[in-house]
Amino acid sequence: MSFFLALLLSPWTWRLVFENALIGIFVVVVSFLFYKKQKWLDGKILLSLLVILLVVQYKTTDKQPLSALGDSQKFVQQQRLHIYPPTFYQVFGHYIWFYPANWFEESKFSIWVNRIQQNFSEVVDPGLYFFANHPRQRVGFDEFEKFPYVFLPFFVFGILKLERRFCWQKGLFVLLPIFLVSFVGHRNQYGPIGLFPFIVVVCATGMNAFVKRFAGRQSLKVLLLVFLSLVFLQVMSYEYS
Amino acid sequence: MNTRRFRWVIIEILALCLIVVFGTFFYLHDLARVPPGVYVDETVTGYNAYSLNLTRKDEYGKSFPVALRFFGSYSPPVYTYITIPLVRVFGLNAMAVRLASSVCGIFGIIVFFLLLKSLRITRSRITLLTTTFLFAITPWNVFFARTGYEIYLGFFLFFVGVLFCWLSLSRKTYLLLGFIFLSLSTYGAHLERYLSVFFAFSFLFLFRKNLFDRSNKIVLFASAVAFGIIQIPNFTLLDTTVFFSKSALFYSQQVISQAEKIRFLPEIIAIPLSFLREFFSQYVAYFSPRSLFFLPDPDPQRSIPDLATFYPWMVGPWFLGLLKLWTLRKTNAGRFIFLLLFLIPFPVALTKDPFSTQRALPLLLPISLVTTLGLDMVLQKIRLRFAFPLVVFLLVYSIVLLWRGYFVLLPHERARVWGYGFQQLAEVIKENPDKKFLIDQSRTKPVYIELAFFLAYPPAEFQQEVDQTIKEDYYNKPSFSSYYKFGNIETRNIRWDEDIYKRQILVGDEFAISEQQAKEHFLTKVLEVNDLNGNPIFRGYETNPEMKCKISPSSLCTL
Repeated sequence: MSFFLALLLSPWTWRLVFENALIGIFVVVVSFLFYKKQKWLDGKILLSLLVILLVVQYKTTDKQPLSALGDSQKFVQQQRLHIYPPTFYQVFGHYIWFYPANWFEESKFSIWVNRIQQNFSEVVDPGLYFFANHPRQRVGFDEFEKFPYVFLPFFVFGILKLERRFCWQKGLFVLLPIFLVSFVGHRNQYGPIGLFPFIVVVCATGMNAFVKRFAGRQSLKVLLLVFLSLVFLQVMSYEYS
Repeated sequence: MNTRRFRWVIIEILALCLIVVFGTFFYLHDLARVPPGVYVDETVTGYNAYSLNLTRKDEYGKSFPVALRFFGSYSPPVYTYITIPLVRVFGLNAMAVRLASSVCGIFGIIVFFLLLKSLRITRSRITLLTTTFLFAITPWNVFFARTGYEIYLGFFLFFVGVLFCWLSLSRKTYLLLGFIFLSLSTYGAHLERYLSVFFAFSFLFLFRKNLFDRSNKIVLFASAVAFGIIQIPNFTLLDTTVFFSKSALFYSQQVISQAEKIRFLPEIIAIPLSFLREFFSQYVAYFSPRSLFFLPDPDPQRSIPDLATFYPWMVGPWFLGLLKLWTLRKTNAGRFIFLLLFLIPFPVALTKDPFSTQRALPLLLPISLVTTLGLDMVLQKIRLRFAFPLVVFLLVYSIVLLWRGYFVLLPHERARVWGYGFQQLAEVIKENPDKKFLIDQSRTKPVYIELAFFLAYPPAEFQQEVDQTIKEDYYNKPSFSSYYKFGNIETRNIRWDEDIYKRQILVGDEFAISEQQAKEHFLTKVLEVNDLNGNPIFRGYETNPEMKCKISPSSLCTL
């Protein structure tokens, strides 16, 4: 029940299904199998499905070279090259020069590190999944609602429940997509779909644990369901307004 | 105490002294030059301290106010009062205005060390010193410890109050000191006016089993009385607009406009839902790794180029620390950190700025504690001989990032937003006492205070030249007008239909007066002030009313 609630009340599911039914259904199936791991389902099969999902993610992403700079970034780089003070040390009468401007601003390594950091920071930001990056929307991105914001407490609760019985599949389901997005970037109309199964499963786990805690109180469950439905309507209104 | 332990205590004390020396260097090095210029909030603090020193009255002629009417914001006054002797000793300059924050920063290192040590949450021997050093050089800490207005002082007083409250769990009498500092912090900065009260109540509630017993009655009573007595000046302002001066920061308009988008639901449901999402999104932004470790504050005046509030590598310890904190949730230390972590963003999340590092400064404390937990998890798992080089590498890497961002990039890239150029403009004005200057105010923060500061304009004269009705109802005049006229200066937007018919110098930024306008109105360029990159900040043009009247006569020509 929790799993289907987490799945059906997510605008991201509907967006995926409506924009590309094949991808949408595949993502839903992978999420379901990941959630309801049966005996017949070997870990390797699950991992293969994750790899296929990551290939889809990779293929649908508008990839930017890690060392490429936009016009404004190039302008800033040129400005910065001139502002570092000359840095040298005198050792036994010899001058040893350092070139911090080139190291920090021009070297490919530092540009890569910055780009990877930026991609990583965006993919691990809860705001991306639960608030369409509000209040710090990115310039030039189509920010869309992925999960209703009320799922965030369930997600946090789910993470804490997950940590106790952490297994390698779960680790891979979160680390591999983050690793991939950190390198290929975010320009993907479907969002970071590689992380979809993990987030849905964690939210469902959290919701399950929450419902179990209030097992005897039916009225509370009904109230929660009504509230979740209202928030779903709210989030869908933002998405399609 | 055995010899080994005694030796370790000596090492700790020496290392702490070394960290304080490093911190002193970071907080005082080139303090007058970096940040470049003097920001309006600093100049208003400095000029009011100068005015209070010379006349015992603020810029509006009000004698020692309980809240200072800075641009209608009614700022808590302690920072300005502390700055009075500094201005007297060092003169009216950037150094004098920023020094009190820096000194608080230096003492803050010791307070952090004491808090961390008393919390007993670290296991590795080197974590305590490493994270104290890291706290001292954290971008968030360094940046605000070098700004000359009330933010850091408010945080520092709150921080000391928090330390004593924590210590009171083991020695009850400290509660009195804790409450005194918490109460004092409400005169430190805007946020602490609310935060300290919330914290005091929440602390008492959360640790009621430890604090509320018969043997502790007197201390509890004395603490409450001390807190209340210190609040008396604030109580006298309850019927004024002082406590609502920041109400414009609430996102009521966003809530309404978002609620209008929810067409399926009635307003009575849509508005609370809309508020809930807005509040929740703002609240979560203060825990977002993207905001904390990677993205600088969106306001360029409140951030270091390419640096967020913490160093990017600290994201790992942050995640690990959160997991560790969860395991400590039933301990007093865990509950105390949880209280700080979840309480501080509450009032901040009610304001519309996305991730305001200035308002959320007290969050520096719990986040530093959580990253300490994470770093400790890592360091206790590796041997000292490997941990030590790792720590040295991370600290050196962090210092290099700080040096690059704060001491190299910031002076060049943020000069304009920090008010660079006003000093040079003031010098030109001083050199031309017989000429009239009209400073365009359309795109800049209040100009008058920058010029009054750099000209060290006599406060007694200034008090006579401002709106005299303000001091009559000082605490109920929050609306601010940027129009000022004092000495040979007038600050307002340029009125092109009349200002060109008067002999004066029109001054504005590079967009205020175009080449075309200069040609059309016979204006002669007489001054240009550039930033450190050579880009113009101000341009000044002298009018030629005779020529203008000759070519296009106006009724103003006869005057």
